[in-house]
Amino acid sequence: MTKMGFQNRLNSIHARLLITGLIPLAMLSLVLGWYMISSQSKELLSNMHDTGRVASNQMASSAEFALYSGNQEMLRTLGDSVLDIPSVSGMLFYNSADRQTVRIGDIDISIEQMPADFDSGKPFFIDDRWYFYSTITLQHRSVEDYDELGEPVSEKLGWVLVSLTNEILLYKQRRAIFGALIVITLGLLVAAWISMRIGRSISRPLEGLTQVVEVMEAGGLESLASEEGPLELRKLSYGINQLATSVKQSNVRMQSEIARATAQLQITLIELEDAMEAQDQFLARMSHELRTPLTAVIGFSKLLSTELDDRKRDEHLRVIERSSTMLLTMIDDILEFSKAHLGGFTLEEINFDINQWLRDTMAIHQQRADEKGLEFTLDLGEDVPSQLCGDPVRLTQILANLINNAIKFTDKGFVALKLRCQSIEDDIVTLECTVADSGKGIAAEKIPSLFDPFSQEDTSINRRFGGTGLGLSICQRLAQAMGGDVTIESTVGQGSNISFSCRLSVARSEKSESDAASTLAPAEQLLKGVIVLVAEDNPFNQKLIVKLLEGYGATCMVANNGLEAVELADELHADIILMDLHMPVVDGVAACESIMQQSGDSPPIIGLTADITQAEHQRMLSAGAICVQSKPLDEVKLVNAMLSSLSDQRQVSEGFEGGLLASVMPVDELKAALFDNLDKLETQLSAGEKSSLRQIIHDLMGLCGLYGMSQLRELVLEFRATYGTLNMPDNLRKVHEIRQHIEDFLSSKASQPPAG
Amino acid sequence: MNIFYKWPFRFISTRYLGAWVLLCIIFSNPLLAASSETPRKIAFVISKASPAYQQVVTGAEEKLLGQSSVYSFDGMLQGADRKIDQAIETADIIVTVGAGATEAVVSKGPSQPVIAALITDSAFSAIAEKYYASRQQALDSGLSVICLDQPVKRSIELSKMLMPSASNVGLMLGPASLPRLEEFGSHVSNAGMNPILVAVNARDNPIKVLEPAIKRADVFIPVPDSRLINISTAKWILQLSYRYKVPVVAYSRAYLKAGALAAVYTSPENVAQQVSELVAEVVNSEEGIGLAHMPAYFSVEFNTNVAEHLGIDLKDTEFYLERLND
Repeated sequence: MTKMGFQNRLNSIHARLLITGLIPLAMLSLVLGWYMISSQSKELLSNMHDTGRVASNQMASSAEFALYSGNQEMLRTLGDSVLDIPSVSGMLFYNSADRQTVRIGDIDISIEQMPADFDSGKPFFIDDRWYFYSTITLQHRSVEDYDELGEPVSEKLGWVLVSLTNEILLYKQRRAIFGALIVITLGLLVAAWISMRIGRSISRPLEGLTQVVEVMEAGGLESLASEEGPLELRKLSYGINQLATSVKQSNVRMQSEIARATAQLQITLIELEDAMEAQDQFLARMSHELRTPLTAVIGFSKLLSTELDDRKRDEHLRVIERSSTMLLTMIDDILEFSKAHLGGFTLEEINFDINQWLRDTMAIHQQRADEKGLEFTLDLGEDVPSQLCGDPVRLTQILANLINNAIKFTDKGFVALKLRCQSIEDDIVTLECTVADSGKGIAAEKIPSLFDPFSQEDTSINRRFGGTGLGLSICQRLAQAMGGDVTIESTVGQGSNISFSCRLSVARSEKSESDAASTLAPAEQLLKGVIVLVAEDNPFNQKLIVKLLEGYGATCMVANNGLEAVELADELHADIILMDLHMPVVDGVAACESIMQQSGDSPPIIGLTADITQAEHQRMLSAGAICVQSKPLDEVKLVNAMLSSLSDQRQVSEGFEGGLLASVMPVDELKAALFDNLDKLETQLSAGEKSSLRQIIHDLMGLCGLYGMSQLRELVLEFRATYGTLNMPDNLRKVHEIRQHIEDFLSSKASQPPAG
Repeated sequence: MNIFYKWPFRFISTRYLGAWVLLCIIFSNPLLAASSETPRKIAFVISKASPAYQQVVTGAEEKLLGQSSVYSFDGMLQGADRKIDQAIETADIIVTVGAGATEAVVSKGPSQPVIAALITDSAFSAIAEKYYASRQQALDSGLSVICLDQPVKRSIELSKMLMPSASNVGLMLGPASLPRLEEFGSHVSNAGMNPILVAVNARDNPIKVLEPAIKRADVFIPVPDSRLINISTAKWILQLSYRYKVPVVAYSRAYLKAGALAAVYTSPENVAQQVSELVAEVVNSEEGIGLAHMPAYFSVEFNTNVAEHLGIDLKDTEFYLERLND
């Protein structure tokens, strides 16, 4: 503690300043003191030497007469007078023959004890005494006025040796040292005092600053440093105060921003939780919503198997087809709903018979309405043109959604569908469609939130009635995409009127879609002379696509994987390439990139994929494909895309429905191909091998797409999503269901007349 | 400039250049050349180019020029042998000023009259014995001398005048003056005082010899002797006189400045006056040649500090000069 405390004190700025100031001053005082002592000692010694020299010289000159006359008494008298000088202790007189003549005072030294050069005139020191030698000379002077021989020669009479005691010198030196020490001590004390004063004048404000900074560091930004001391420290204090004020203000700002951000985060969290809850509810509802058309399909399929009347069988088949289409459309809608956030819906522009589409829609829901004992009516205004141009699927999607909701929320009474023509201007028809019901109604305050995605009036609705909560939102967006909007009028306990408006065109051609479909033929020689490279790993798909394109007059080459496609494109000429995305060895994306890098005039590439994600489409486009066709392939879209990429103005007529297989592949071959894959699937599942399952499922999906078997495709997709979580018997059961579905579907297809 | 230092000018230092220029002007006076009478050539040979020696020459010349006879002068230092030789051949009279100059001329054996001035009697005797075997032979050879030493009688008389109450007069004699012991004693007695005569030779401790005499004397008079005796005794005479408060009446101005109360001495002007008179006498009548002349003129001077110390009242110098001349 003591050592640490000493070190801390030594490290303090006060101690350092003290040391910095004190050491030079102490050194200076010591040097000056040493110089004073040294110089005074020299001065004292010099003075003593001078005294000795003067005394000896004076004695030598005074003793001339006495020594010459041999008057010892006179010599003693002279000597005694010199002994009055404190330092002089004694003297000796010698004659010219170096014989001692007179001894005066305290002196006892013989010539033998003296140094050899004692007569050189330099003082010598023996036994604490200094001795000074001086020659006694008889100096004659001429007393003749005209002396031509010059001054007479002097004569040595003898010499005198004067001794001086060293005690007085030492005494004086001690006094000088003492005096110097007093001066040094006083100097040091003054220096220490000055250093301390200066050090304190600097360190105290600094210590104050340090304390203030420590307080600030602990959060006490209210305390301010006192601006005192030297100018620099005052500036520093001012700067620290300014800094503290700035930090304080920043803290206030920061706390305010943190509070705001926290509040925002809480809001966001709540919104996120709401969104998560809504999404969970949506996912829970999805399966229920999908069941509606599925139930129709299944139900009518059962009726179809027992119905003998051909007309009713056709009617059932049409309902089944419409329900399937609706189901597919719903799924697409959900996907497109997400797209709508980015770019909105893409609406078709096709001619259709509004009456037919409305009847089909009614038929889909008729069964459920009947089950609830509701009166389900259609009121189609006479002013509504029967042939319109637009997107009938989207239109009936809105109607089906509203009807579905109406039936769902109405326990008794009626559900009525009413269409009116608001206006017709320049072949633009503005329709107003209203679905009225006598259901429980909607509270007025709940109506605005009904248009929010994944929202329903309350969560209990979902439990009771199901639904995605997406319907009204999609309806609104669809209506808005078609130039209209959705409005809701409702009274709780009395029912609701949900209306929407939309803008459609009056069809220019008198032929309806059904007519067009019946008259169109794929045998047109639109692709005559065109060499097509088909890159498809699935043999069945290869055969299907080749047959389709040959029907349009094209010449086809086949590549079983991406690598072969690249090699063929390099070696042989192809006018266009159809490139499947998922292929072994080299996939479609890599093959596409390689072909594009081969030469500058590579043929146009059209991507084919069963993957509906936008990311996969984008990958193909990025690799160089000019467009991507989704499986199930639409024959018309495919051919038109090929013609477009070949800069051919010819186009296949619109309105042709169904997959490629519908026109080119015999049912038996398709069935064999599907069953072949199902067999592989069962084998893999039985063996517990799941490594090839994805490839088999991919092939199945491709076949489904090619043939337009949307229900089958959904079944396969469901299987793909769940097979990892199910056990082998359940998976085999699912495969059996798929097999059964194919059996039923192809049976019903085989019974239909060929589309072409 | 270098030629100035060449012989014979090497003896002419720049220190005395002014005096030499003056001498040259004087010696080359055109009025002399214009005179119908053949001028007598007087050659001055001096021992030192000091002011005292020059004053003797210039003083003598001034005085000679004021007389009826015509003179031409030539001056030289004692070391200028060639010029001295030339002077010996051409000069009518050679005047030597100082002992050194006298010896320089005498050593060459001049045939014309030589007057030696500013020389003590003992020095003249020494030179005479050296070059002429004896003082008398020197005089007989035409060598005249004007002695520098004043008669002791004048000092005794001055002593009496300064200290009328003095009864004992101490006289120091050396080997050269010792033969005149009785003469000096009678002078003292004639003056009404008792002589205390003390003889000092070179082997004695002068203090021990002199102290008893000075201690007894009321006034002390050192008689000039050889240089050795003069120098070795002067210091102690003065110290003893100081110790015993005995006034000293000396024979030179230097003695006076060293501490004597008074001095009767021969000044350069006194010598010049006597030289001019002797030269004129020789030129006109050839008398005075081969004689030893006592100093005809003298000077008196006092040390007032010593006089005050001893309590002696001094009168004007003229007072004493008049009395002494009487």
